[in-house]
Amino acid sequence: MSAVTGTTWAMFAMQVRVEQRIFWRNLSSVFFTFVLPLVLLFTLWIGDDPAANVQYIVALSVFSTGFQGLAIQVAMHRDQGVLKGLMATPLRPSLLILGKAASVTLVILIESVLIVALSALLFGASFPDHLVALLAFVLLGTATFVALGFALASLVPNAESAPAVTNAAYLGILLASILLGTVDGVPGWLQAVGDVIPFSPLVEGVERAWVGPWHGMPWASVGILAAWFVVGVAWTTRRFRWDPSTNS
Amino acid sequence: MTSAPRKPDETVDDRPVLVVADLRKQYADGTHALAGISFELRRGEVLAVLGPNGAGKTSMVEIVTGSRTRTSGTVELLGADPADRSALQRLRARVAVVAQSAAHLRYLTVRETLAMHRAYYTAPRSVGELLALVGLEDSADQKVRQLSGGQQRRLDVAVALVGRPEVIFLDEPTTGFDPAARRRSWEVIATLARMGTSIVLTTHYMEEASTLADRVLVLRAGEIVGEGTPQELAGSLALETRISARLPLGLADVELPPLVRAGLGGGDGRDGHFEVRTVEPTATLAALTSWAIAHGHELVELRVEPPSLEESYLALTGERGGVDVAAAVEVDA
Repeated sequence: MSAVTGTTWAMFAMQVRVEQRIFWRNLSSVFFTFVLPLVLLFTLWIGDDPAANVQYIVALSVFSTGFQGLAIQVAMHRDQGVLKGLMATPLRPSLLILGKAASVTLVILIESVLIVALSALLFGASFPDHLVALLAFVLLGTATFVALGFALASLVPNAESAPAVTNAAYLGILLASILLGTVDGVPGWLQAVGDVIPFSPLVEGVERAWVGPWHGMPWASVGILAAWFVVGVAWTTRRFRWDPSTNS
Repeated sequence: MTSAPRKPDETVDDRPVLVVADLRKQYADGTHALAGISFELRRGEVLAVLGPNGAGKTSMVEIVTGSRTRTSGTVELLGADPADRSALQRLRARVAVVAQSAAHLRYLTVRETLAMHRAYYTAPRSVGELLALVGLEDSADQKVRQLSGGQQRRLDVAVALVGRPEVIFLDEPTTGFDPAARRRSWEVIATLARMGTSIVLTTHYMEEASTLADRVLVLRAGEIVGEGTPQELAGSLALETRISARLPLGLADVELPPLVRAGLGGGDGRDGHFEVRTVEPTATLAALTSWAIAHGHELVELRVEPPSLEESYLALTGERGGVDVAAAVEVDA
């Protein structure tokens, strides 16, 4: 190999390549990433009016792959000592994080294309109406959930508790967002809380971009996601550990 | 950088690679991992830091390589302070660390792991050279998770060598190895030393320190309790030299000269075998041999054994039970 090495770009490109390699080689990560949207698609297919709900599967894929999948992987790699080893090299932490983010983005884009294509094939769902806006929301949502995924990983004490902690956070956010946003009789102030839970603005944006006349960007949703992105980055910067837990 | 004025044509940099002064690490509960240690690593030198578990070896390595904070004291690694983040980022291109708790991605092959690390350095070694250096040519296309423990540690060393580091820190590189694997690792470390790399090696095997190191620091409960070449350390403590032989047939040990009798002890007693421990080996040996010559005896199996590094280590750390003595004296099968 005579490729240029040691530059920022060479390091970033290598990180993305390595992340992709280890993702596709690890059958359980591939299975859990793709099985959820496929099962949901199948559930829609056997129900009424399947085409009306495809957009929620896309939103859920962004959330689960970016947030929960990433947090588990990061917590495992930290506990194994992989992150500690990498931090002893000239690779900057920001490049390691950006490489993971880029790789997760790639996986989410593949998932989204697959969901759209399969739903068109299976039950003739139409393509999203506003592709650019949809792409913008998928990317913003991915960035936000990757940042929150790292923040969540900093709350995980060790690899054994990674699935429990990440699932609790994932299901908690999901349930709160759905219940507070859709169930009748929820008081107004609780609905307002539901609106700022990180999953809700993503659903809102994807819904708007999916179907119907374009009424302009839902800036409130953009703002909420961006705010959570800042929270995730700030938390990660302050609290993220690279070393394995010492009380093993 | 601070340095003494140098001649313009001077090419050899003889400043120490690492200078540690009064380094302390204290925890919130008042206990300390390091109680003020000072030492230097000279360019091209192999320094072994020897001590039982919990002596502060790993804390020292982690502080000196910037992955842990210190309470007080100064550290100067290649002229920079590893506690300074931007300095540390530059140091990482010149300093490699083989940590005990670090690992590699399990789903990459050995070759892919080395290729990944090559991307981090401007003038990396080739994958082929690295594989040959640590003897992993036959495992190049195996996944990391399929490697044995010994192969994984060799991969650790190969990864550390990718960027042609000037200084390498090896934290207990052979702990848990069988004797054959340990000997192979020693060959790799000796090769690095011959290439001029400065090496800090922590270990609790005395044989490892005396085989590889130019100089040894003995660490106990966060303090340096001994320092010197392996020979100096062994000689500095007025430890007992052992003299042993077999008595001529039909003689009892009461017939030995008084100076020899005074140190009697040990020896298995079979076939007249006896052992004398003495802090005056010259006088004792003279007394023994002149007695034998005067009486026309031949001293069969006469042996003189100088105090070993192991004995000085045990004397210094005051621990017989806490260290891996068996591993240090085991014979290679």
